[in-house]
Amino acid sequence: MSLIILRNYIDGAWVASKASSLADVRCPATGEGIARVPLGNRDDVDRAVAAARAAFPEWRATPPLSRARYLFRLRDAFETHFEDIARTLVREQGKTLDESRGEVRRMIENVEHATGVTTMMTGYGLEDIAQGVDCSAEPQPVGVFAAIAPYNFPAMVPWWFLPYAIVCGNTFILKPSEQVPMTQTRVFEIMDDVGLPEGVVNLVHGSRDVVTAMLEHPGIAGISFVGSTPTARVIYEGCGRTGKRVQALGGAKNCLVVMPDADLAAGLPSMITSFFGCAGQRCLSGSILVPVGEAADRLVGAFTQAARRLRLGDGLAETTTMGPLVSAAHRERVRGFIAKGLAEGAELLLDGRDCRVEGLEGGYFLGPTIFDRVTPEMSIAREEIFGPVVSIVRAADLDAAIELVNSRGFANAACLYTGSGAAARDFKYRVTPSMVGINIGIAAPMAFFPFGGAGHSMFGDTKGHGREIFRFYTDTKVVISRWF
Amino acid sequence: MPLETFGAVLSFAAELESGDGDFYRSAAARAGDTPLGRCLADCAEDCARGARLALRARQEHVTEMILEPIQGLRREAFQPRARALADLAPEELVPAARERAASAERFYASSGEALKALPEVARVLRSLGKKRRTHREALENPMS
Repeated sequence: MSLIILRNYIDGAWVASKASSLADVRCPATGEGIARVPLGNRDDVDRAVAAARAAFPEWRATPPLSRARYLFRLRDAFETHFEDIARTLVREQGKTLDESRGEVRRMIENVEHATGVTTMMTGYGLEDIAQGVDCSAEPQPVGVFAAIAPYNFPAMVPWWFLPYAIVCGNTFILKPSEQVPMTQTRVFEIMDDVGLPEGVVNLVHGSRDVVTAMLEHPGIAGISFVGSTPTARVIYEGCGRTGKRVQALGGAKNCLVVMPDADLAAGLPSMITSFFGCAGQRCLSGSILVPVGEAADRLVGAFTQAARRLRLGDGLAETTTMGPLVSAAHRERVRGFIAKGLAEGAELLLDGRDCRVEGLEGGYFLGPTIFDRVTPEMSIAREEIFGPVVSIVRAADLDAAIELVNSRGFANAACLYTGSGAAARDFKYRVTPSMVGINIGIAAPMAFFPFGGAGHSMFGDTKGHGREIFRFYTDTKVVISRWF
Repeated sequence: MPLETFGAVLSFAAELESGDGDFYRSAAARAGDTPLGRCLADCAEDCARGARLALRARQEHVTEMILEPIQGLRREAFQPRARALADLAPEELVPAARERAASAERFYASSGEALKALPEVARVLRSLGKKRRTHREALENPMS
């Protein structure tokens, strides 16, 4: 059976890409091809930018509340097609149905938050800044924005940006990851029914060539990116060269610090979810487990035992508690880290390399893997693995744990498990990562709070969603008036 | 089969409501226009609403941040004996209907406890359990 070839969505129509090559989209649970995605080029980007630029003048003149009404309709359409989107996502990305539904829920929450534009986009003013002179600050849309999305959250991440960009009066181009392009294709099909004006939203499939074309295109005012740190740096620098606004969210190496007074019975399930949820493929996943002092005695055994109970399988089965990795290549990369951990002398408590899932031998599965006695200098404690591999680094006290957190270079998220308010305050006050969890394993800001890290985890100064995103997508014009 | 995930618990709730609703609907048809028939028809209507409620909770209350493994629930423990309505003698109808309500009630008590970290979901499960208790009690004396 021949596989469907995905198309771009430009100027309100589905059009064939100008690409000269295609890539297979594979189901990570089976390894089977499920679609083919065009690896687009500069022509595709030019066409999308032209459509977005043409749509901008009329769209920016559309009252904000009218723009928000499209989002209300979109929200209803997403609720109607919720399960369909969630299952498409599982099929191409591999995560479990619960994880997928949770992701689609977060996608919708961003639409809901963006509908608050009439409050969130407002400016401010002051009379008589000099005698008879008034001043106002009026946020205005900027033009065409683009987003380049990662493979780990194909539904949610594009919607950290898209609804805010368009509700502020900008037009938008999305490039989904070429590994998981089907979810947003489905989402754009649903959007097509909502009847946004042509050219307001556009979808271009592709990989490196499309990214380069976007970076260099003078018609794009700003780019939002989520992915690895090396690519985030390239995006940041590229946008700097062409004078674009940019928010480039990179990788992570998150620590979960567990104090001796932590309530383990209550906290352990969320630690397991943090390290192994989405098979460790999220920028908020725990990567380093840091028991402080005698916490290790209680924690390490219980944690390992709980990890053993995870049930690997096809994400579409509701009995599955951990899905596969996204691709064979990524699994090999993660296996490489396990080999490095062993070579560097870490103690392997649980080895996920030999896991087998009956009936799904072609899937990209890797079981939970736990290393103990890891030192801060080892590769597995320094580099982003992005898989279900835990490095246990024991710390003598909270100071040592905080020093470990702050010396990773990445500064995305950090979590503390404790029964002490004083320890919690000390931790959140001193750690450099921008997203902090207290007795929470996934410190994931919701739509109405900003998402983004510090250090090597983010380049740019305006984070995703929250209140700040309305500033990213607007230019504040200051008007000083004097009438005679 | 274990019910170890948020989705599995709520999908099972929806399944339970749909299956029991079908049973009550058919049983109501068999009982005809009698107090028992009307009681069973009411139960069927509640179950249809319950199935929708469970699916809505699965969709609206899923929280990516708190998707922790659930332990100790298995669907076998809450599935009533699967006997077709046609195989039941008239005097077995009400006990079978009550047994379904009682199984569901036990499931909602256990699952509400297992999902207490998600209060909105626990509330939905409690309310479904309460509805099933009223069914069980109504079926104690359906002629009244």
